[in-house]
Amino acid sequence: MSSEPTTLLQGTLDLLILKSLVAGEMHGLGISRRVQQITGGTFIVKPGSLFPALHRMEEEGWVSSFWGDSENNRRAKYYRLSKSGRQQLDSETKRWGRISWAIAQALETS
Amino acid sequence: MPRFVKVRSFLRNLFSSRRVATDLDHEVQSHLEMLVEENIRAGMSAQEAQRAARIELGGVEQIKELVRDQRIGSWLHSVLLDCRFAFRQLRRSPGFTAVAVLTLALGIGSTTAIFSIIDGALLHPYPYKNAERLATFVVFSGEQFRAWRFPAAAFVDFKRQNHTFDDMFGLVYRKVHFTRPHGSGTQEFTGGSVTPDTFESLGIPPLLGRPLTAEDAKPGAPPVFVISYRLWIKLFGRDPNIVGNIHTLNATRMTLVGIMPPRFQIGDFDLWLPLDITRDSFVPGAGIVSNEIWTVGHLKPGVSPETAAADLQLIAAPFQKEDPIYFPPNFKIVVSTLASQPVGRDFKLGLCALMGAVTLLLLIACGNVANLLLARATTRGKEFSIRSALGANRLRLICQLLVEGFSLALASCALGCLFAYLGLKAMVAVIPPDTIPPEAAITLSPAVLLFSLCVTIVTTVICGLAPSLYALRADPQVALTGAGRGVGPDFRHGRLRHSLVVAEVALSIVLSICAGLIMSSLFALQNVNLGFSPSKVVYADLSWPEGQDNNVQQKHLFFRKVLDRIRQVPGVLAATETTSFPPYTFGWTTVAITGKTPPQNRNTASTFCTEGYFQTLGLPLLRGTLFSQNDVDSAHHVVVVNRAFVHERFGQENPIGQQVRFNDYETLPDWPHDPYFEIIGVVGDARNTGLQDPPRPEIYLPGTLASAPPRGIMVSTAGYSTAILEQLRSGISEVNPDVAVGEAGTIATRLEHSYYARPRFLFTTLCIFAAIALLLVGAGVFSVISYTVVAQTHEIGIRMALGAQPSQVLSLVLQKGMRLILSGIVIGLFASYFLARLLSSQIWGVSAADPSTFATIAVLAFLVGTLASLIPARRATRVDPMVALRHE
Repeated sequence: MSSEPTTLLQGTLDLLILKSLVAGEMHGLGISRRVQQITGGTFIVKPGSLFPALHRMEEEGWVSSFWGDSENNRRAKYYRLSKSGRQQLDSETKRWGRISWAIAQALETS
Repeated sequence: MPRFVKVRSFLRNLFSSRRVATDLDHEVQSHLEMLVEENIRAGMSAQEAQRAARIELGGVEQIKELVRDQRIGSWLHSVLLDCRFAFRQLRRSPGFTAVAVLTLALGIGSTTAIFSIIDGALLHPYPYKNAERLATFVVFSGEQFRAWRFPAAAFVDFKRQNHTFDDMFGLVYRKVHFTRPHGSGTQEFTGGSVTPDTFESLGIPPLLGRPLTAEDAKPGAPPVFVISYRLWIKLFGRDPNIVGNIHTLNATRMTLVGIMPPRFQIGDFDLWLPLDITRDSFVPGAGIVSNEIWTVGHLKPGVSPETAAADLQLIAAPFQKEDPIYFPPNFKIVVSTLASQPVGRDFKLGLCALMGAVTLLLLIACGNVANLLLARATTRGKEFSIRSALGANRLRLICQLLVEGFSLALASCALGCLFAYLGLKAMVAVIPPDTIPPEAAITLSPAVLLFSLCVTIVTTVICGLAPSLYALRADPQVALTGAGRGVGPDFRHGRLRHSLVVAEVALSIVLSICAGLIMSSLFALQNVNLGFSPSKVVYADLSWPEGQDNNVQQKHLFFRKVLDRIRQVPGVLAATETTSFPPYTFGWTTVAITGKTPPQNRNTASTFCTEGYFQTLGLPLLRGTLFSQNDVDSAHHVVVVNRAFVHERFGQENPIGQQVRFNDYETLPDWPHDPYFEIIGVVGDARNTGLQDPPRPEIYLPGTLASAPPRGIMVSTAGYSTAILEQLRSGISEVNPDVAVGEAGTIATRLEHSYYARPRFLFTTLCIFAAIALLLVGAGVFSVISYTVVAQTHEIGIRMALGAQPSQVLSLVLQKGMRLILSGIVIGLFASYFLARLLSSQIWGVSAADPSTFATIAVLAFLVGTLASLIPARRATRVDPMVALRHE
């Protein structure tokens, strides 16, 4: 999980993937592009990070997968957020809020 | 249900791994295609789109590998793969596998076998309830051992007043005359009269019937007894229907109520009778030892032997006045647990030494296998380089090598346990009698198997470590460009490997020399000239029931009748009544010769016998005459002496006609009033203080002089058969069914027990291990030299291309092997010279530095080593220079 200037914090990739799936079921490339889009191009998720993360999250039960047809009628593997995935997203979002607030506080203190 | 999801994933990953893999393939493939489409839509040419997509995707295999690593149970999957791979590797080179497995199996097997003995005899010898707290006590007077059995009054006070024992029971040794129900004679056994709580304390239920209870010991209770497992087999052939039968024991009719299981052997008794001990009780019919009670009990949990001793010391204090024989002034009670000293010091030391030897053997076997694995790792260097170039990390490579080592070790463990089972059978069969407690069971118990498994794991680590270290060092760059032979220069010299072979040779030399020395000493013992053939002389020790044992004339009449009968049996050459059975004498006495100063100590062996004694043992008459039948029947005052007696007491003087008297025997109740005897003959010397010492002065008297010395029958035969012993038994029971036959057999069996058994045990075990060590030497030399030949194929090729003859190549390789073997032999001989001295108490008739043994073993080791290096050396001579040079 690398991007140009920013290195993703541990667990952030999961958060981004879960967040991008809230919009609906998506295949791998779709997720990758969606992450790029919602982060304003700051994070580009390469397949080398994406696939291991997706498979791990599937085994954790946060996402489920199925084969479907893409917009161009191509067979593609789609991922869908599960119930426990939603819970995970909630708790991850809260955690992230706490962290970013704390970091911001720390940086503002002179 | 996230857990359920995980389990499902785990199972899916494990069992439908192929489907999971194709699924991933498809996914990555579709991802790639979609990237291409995206690029084409962005306006790239088809070729450019492909290229950009591949760049964005990165390495397909790496992605798949990363995904696989993320999966639940991926470690298990890789271990399974490793196992499969290891199995294939091993199957691909059956010769290597066989040598490695056999080598390790020998190592693991011998360690397991010796550990079984240690576990059975030292660690868990007793099967009883809370056996580790079972304790007994003895009395010392100052530093000197005084007594281990005590009078009834002391026992009762100990039992009642102590605060440190949970329970306490007493056992009294007792000779039991057991008369078989159907008139097949009387036999003598060692019985024990025991307090009835014994059985409950020891906590072992009987195999059949019931144990002795408190009811049985009450006065007036019907007499009952319980027998041991071994007596059940010996007398009744495991007949389960004998419980409840009535037998005659010491002329009393008693009911057999129970049979104890095999390991219940408290006191080493054959049968147990109930005994009620009160302060002034005395055990009827038990003779001199009636008052001597061996006391055993469970220490309370957490009580140390010292605390218990202090407790008992206080209780025993009043007995100092009452019973100074048992409790002398300054007496000291010493408590010790049974488990703390199950075997003698010698045997324990011997076992520890053996354990040391087999551990060395195991290490050497590991070394050998590590060598083999290393040699293979070296030739497999390229494989490892490719693996690490493909992204296998070092941990993964080491893991794979360890799995290989473990699969080898596991196979060896199974084979090793089989070896241990067979080896144990051979060794247990020759464990000398009375060296381990009769309760001890030496088997491959679960504890032993667990130990063996631990050994296997350690073995794996040791064996896998060497090649792992090699793999760790391997630099893919160097190995892949280095022409792929993968022979690093540091492994060509292999100092470690060579010193291993030297150590192997040295160890095998030490073991073989010890075995050789024991063999020589066993041989010397078996060839001691007794003057007769011990396997052809039969003896039977007899004993009389109370009331019949003090009439010398009746006894003599009995012997005359039995001896007459036995002389009629075909194959019997001579027979006699005797108090001594070679190579020991019945007793020692002072002999005063009229007109000479009497000696200060009892230095003369004495034997009461009939006129047939000399003929039975083949003692040659040197001077004078022997007893006649009339001399014996009429108890004439005549004696025969041996040559040593004449030499010590008369020198050149003529002993015939001299008068002697026996002050020690004059206290016997039926000794004749006239104490003087005349020397009428001199016979040759015969061993009378055991096999190892030269014969001492001995004097032979007619057996009719006194009734007290216990005696039996000795028969010389043309060739021993069990029929003769049976004839003897039936003859005895026909003449007097009350006379009990105790120990009986040939003199050779007697010698076996007391002389041959110990060296035979040492010899058997040492021989097994020496043979294993020699085998390992063979395997070790073979593996090292083969490896050298493989590594030097290129060099040998060049040499041969330059004109070297096969014989020169042969000697080149052989020289290398011989250098190793010879250094091993030299070190081994030095080590043996010093170590064999430790053995000097165990050997006899041969020097601990016996040159011929040393030389023979050195030659043997040299031959084995040379033979082992000859095979690869011959292979080296067949190297085709063209092939060898193209080997690059």
